[in-house]
Amino acid sequence: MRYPLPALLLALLPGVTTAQNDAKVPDPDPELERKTFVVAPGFEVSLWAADPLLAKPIQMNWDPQGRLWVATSETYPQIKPGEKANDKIVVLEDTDGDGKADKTTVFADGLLIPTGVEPGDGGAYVANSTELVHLSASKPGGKADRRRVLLSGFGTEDTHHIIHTFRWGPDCALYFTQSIYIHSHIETPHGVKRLNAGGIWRFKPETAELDVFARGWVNSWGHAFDKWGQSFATDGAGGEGINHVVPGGYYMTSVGPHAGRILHGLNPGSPKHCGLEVVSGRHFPPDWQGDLITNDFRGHRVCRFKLSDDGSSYQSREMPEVIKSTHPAFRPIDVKMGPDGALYIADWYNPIIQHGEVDFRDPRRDKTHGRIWRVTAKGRPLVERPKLVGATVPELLEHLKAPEDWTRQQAKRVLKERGEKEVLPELLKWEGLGRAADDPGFEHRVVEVLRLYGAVVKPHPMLTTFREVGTPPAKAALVRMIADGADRLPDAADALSRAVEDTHPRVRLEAVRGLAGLRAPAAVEAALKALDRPMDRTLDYALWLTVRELAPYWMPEFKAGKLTFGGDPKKLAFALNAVGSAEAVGPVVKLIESGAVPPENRHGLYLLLARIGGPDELARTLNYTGDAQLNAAQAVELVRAVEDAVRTRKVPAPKNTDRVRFLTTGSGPGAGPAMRLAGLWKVEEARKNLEAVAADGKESADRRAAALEGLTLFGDAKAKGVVVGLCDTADPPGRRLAVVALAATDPSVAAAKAAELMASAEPNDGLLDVYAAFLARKGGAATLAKALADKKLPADVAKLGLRAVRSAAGADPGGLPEALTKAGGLGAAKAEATPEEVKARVADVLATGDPARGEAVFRRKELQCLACHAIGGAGGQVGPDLTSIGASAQPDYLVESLLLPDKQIKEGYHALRVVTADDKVVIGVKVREADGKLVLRTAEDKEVAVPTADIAEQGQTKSLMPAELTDPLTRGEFADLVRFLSELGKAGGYAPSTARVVRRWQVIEPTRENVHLAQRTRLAAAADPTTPFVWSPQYARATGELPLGELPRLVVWNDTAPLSVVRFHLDVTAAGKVRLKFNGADGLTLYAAGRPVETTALTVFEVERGLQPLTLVIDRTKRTDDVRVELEDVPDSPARAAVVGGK
Amino acid sequence: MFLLPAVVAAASLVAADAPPKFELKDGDRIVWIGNTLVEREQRYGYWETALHAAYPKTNFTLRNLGWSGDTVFGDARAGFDTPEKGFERLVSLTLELKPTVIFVSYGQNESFDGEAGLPRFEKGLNRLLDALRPANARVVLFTPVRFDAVKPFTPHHERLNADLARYCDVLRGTAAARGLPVFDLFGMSGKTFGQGNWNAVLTENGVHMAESGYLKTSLFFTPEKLSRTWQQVCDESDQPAVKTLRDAIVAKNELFFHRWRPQNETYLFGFRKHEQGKNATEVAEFDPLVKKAEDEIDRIKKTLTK
Repeated sequence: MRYPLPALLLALLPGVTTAQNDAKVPDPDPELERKTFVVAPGFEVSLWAADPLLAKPIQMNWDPQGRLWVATSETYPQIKPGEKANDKIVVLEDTDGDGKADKTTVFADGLLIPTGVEPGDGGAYVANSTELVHLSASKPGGKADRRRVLLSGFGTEDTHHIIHTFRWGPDCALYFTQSIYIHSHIETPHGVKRLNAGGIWRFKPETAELDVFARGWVNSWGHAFDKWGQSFATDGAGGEGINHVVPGGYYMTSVGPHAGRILHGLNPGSPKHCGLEVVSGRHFPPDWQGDLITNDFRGHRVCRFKLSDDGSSYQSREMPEVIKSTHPAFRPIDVKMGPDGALYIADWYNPIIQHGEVDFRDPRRDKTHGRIWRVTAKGRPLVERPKLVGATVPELLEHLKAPEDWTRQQAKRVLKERGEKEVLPELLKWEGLGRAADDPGFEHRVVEVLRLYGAVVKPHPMLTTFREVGTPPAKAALVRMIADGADRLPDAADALSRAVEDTHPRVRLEAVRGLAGLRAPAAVEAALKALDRPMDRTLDYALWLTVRELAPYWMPEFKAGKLTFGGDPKKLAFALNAVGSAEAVGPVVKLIESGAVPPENRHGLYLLLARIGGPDELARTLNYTGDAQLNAAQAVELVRAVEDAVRTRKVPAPKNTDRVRFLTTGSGPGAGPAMRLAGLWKVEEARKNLEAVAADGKESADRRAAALEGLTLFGDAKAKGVVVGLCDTADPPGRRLAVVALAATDPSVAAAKAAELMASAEPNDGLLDVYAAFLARKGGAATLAKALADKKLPADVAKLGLRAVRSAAGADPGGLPEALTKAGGLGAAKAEATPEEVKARVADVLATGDPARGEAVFRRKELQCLACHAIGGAGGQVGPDLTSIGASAQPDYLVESLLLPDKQIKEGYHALRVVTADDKVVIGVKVREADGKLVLRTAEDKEVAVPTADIAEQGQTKSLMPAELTDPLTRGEFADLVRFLSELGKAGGYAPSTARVVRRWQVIEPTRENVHLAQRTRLAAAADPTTPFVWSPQYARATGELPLGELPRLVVWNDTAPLSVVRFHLDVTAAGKVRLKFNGADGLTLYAAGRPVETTALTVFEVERGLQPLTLVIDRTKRTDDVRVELEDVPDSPARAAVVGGK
Repeated sequence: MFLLPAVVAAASLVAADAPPKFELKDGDRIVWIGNTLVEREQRYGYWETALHAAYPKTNFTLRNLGWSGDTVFGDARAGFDTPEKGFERLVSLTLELKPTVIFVSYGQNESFDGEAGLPRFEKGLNRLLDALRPANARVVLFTPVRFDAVKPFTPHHERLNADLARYCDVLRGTAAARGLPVFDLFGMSGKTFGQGNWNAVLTENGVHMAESGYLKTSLFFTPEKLSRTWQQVCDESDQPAVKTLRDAIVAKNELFFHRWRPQNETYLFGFRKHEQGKNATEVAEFDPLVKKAEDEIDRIKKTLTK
């Protein structure tokens, strides 16, 4: 046994500034590690295998003999020049059945970072960097000496993203995954397959057919199938927990032609998870069957989730952990059920994870250890390990009745390898095909046999006519088989079409997705029949995707009048909306003119028209904004959509622009976009109106800004003259607004005006917008710097400028800070933190940092931490969720991230700097790129769409997190803040909670408007669904309480009790009873659907489907405790609800 | 001077007068661009070994830039960038190596676009050849290997081959127009293996050659005079001396692969280089190792040709 360098020796190494700098190299004794495990009640954990039997396990899978194949790598993360890659596939075996591995065989070596292994077909399928290879030994039990390259061309841009997570599917195809940075170009006999992002591949070795099963995720190292063949995935760098995988679906970070809309995981706000397995078999207690096990490898936890049906998809709940540990090197990364019915966990064993933030050659990277842990239920017998390899075909068929997924799946694999000749005769006479009188296993047996038949022979012709199964999961499985075998089943189209009308939404979901593979115009009509039955979110997505994928086949037929959708405008509207291409313009207009569209669908059609139409359609949309059926918000949305169309698609003005002029005279929020539209289309009749609004000091800043922007968009000398004039003559806010507007079209004139204005300006926040206007232009900051060259500015005005530069993280400062420092007579700028300073700060954290005080710092409004970062899914979405940041990032990394935000940036959070053709600069994190638009999330947590055709320059830029954000903090406060962050996700008070706690709140601040409203109506009107109040964000503490002391007190009249009004939202996908658990109901009154509910510590009430606001009125004279609310299920209630997170 | 028979045969079909000749010269630097066919040769090394056998007294180096899924448009090389960057990368990488000879091996992936894709392919091929002009190198075009009938991988091989034949015509036509020699693998694999002899032993899946396939086809690279000897070499591929040479070639190829297509590019050279870019210097450390491996090839070659 080899030991790592003693920790003492490491302390003597020169100070390398890397993340996880203080990562401890622990004593590698497995028993010491095991003793740290807190195990679920009724279970125990034993060591099954450890170094030196294996080192650095990455992925594992069992073979039918009950041997565990493990892919291991000591080369990770990067081969060293001069060294020969010598990574291994090892086979571990418990030959005497005592519950411990006692034999290791090196099956293959000389590999380069093998990230996946799945035994089969006389050897093993192995991920070998750019290739998928099949390795086999010419001598049974020997070392691999034969290698077939099955597929090549997988990308290697990141060695923890290269192909991984191998698993045989229930269809005996090989499923495997690649992650976000990987670009793969794979030649097959059936064409070249390309995937330029994350996704799950499906490969059939016997025909070399390869396709993309699902797309997306950042780094998905978990994929498992349940008993019926539904599949689920987890993400090692995403935060949405369990994902229900819809065939062909797009998930977060997807790239591809339909990436404009994606599906989400079932547990938003989760920490990252690695590995996935479904619990199955007699050894585990009944209430664990079908539960999903995955690993929070950063937080040293093995996690359990329970699923229940929710429409066509599922609801997923986190249960108490299987294992919790504080051991810094316990890194559970893979999990599989074993042949004896126990649960096996691969422990990568490393104090250091990742290789983006941590040096490739960090000496504390563990290269020698690794463990396989075995979880068993106390007092429950193990399952007898089945003998499959030497078994006869009839014996193997009997194993298809086993309750253990493990046994059935392995038996199927053995049968598949035996081949058609051996298997078919026995299968045809197998008594298991019959149905006994009381036969609860019959339907599942049918599914297994049909799958086996499909894998060994061909898709069974009876699949399409089979009526013997009636339960939804069995039917859904059959429909998937029909879809997969559609090209060999003559009546597949009819069968799928029938299944769209099934009573269960999951069967309909499978049918709708299956129809996408038929590539025929009739398939879209069949799929749209789904709209005749209740829809849900997942089903709606599936139909949207199918309609889009089939568009090349049905659109021509539809335009030729051969396809009518049965004359159903609802179906036609859905189809045209899904396609959303210019081709749909004519049909949409026709549909509107037919008058057949129900009122509730019209707004959607006009939005579509604005998105795809030409001048006449835009005019038509604007005219429709006067329709009595529309509410104000819908009308504004339409005007905005028209403005967006003109900006992004450059649609010219229609002949008649009266409507635009009319809208600019309105007083509502629609006037803003209309004024800009007037400028874009140069509506001469509206010009006077714009000039009047721009000059009027009594108008709101928003309206004046819109008017000024409209004027600059006229782009002629007359308009410019007016704006330049206002720079000199308007009231102070008007001057600022005019300069801001001018900066967009004539930066140098604007810079001169800005310099004049600033020389005598009051130092208020309005000036930040002036600076920002220049920073948002290419070269704008430099232009302003030049104009300030020999000017004197009040010191505070110059300081505001420096603040603006810092906030515009990623923008080119163009010498502006230096110019401001000089003009304002300010002292020299603070130097960047040195490695010594970082080190000293880290020492502070350990010496004086206090997490509770740190959280108070984190929550301070002026620091704005929560505006960008969420904890437990509640908070801004600009930066990474911090739920378990402390479990993966060490204090030195956190200190560096705060002082030097650009040094290390999490994957998925690199900001892009985009310059448009007219020199506008947009900086943000890429959300998606689809349909000709690049969508960025800006530092203000706003999604901004830039037409890709308008992009002149595009490149990576720095972090969106402003440097020097923490400058106002004292040294002690800084230490507290880092200490708080470093505790997040670790065992203890700041560990991720499995409870569904309300973390995202909104409050009513006692602003003049809000108090006035409360006086005019009543405070309880806050609870009305159409609440007129303005709500501000508020978040619970990491531990889940909403601090009462931070809530504003509202006193409506002088003599009334002080109240606080807060609310949160539930996303309800199925109506019914739910329960809220309060930490005591004193002083609380809950309002649901606008009505008060009797509020007790456990409050049960009915919720309707949809996004439901729940309002709490807190009587501050009766309440002294902070407020903690958890959502709980009511037994047997059909309700499906989730607490809404986000900003 | 040795003339490759395949080259003569192919070239004479399209150019009636003075068929373009191909020969290697002392000091030649060959760069080989193409798709999976080229990429996988580097791990087997038979073709490269055959070239050394054909030119026993000539010093030359060979750098394999094959990339699975690639096309004349550089489709497989774009990485995080736009497709156009893939093409630029294909060209700039080739030119950086200062080739005196460029083997260009494309057409099979493009042929999945069928007849409709022909004009685009012809344009793309010519654009690529134009872009490679600054190298001032002798360019040799390869036609792709046939699709073989190996059920159940290629039940559609006849249709695929009909399309592929059209793409080969474009390659031959382009070569003729530019006075370039052609290695006609398509024609050869048709004559030699295409009649059902081309079996699964020679390919992994009816499309991509297995190790045995590279061994068989390496005959294309040997001049007639040598072919008897080489035939024997092929028949006894484990013949120690030749195996030593081939092993040295494969070892060199592996080192060069780590040099030009290193793992973790994102962190070393890509948009996260601010994190691990300091380790990028390691990648250059492969250069002397490649050089050393090439010296070893020369040394073994000398012992073989003594």
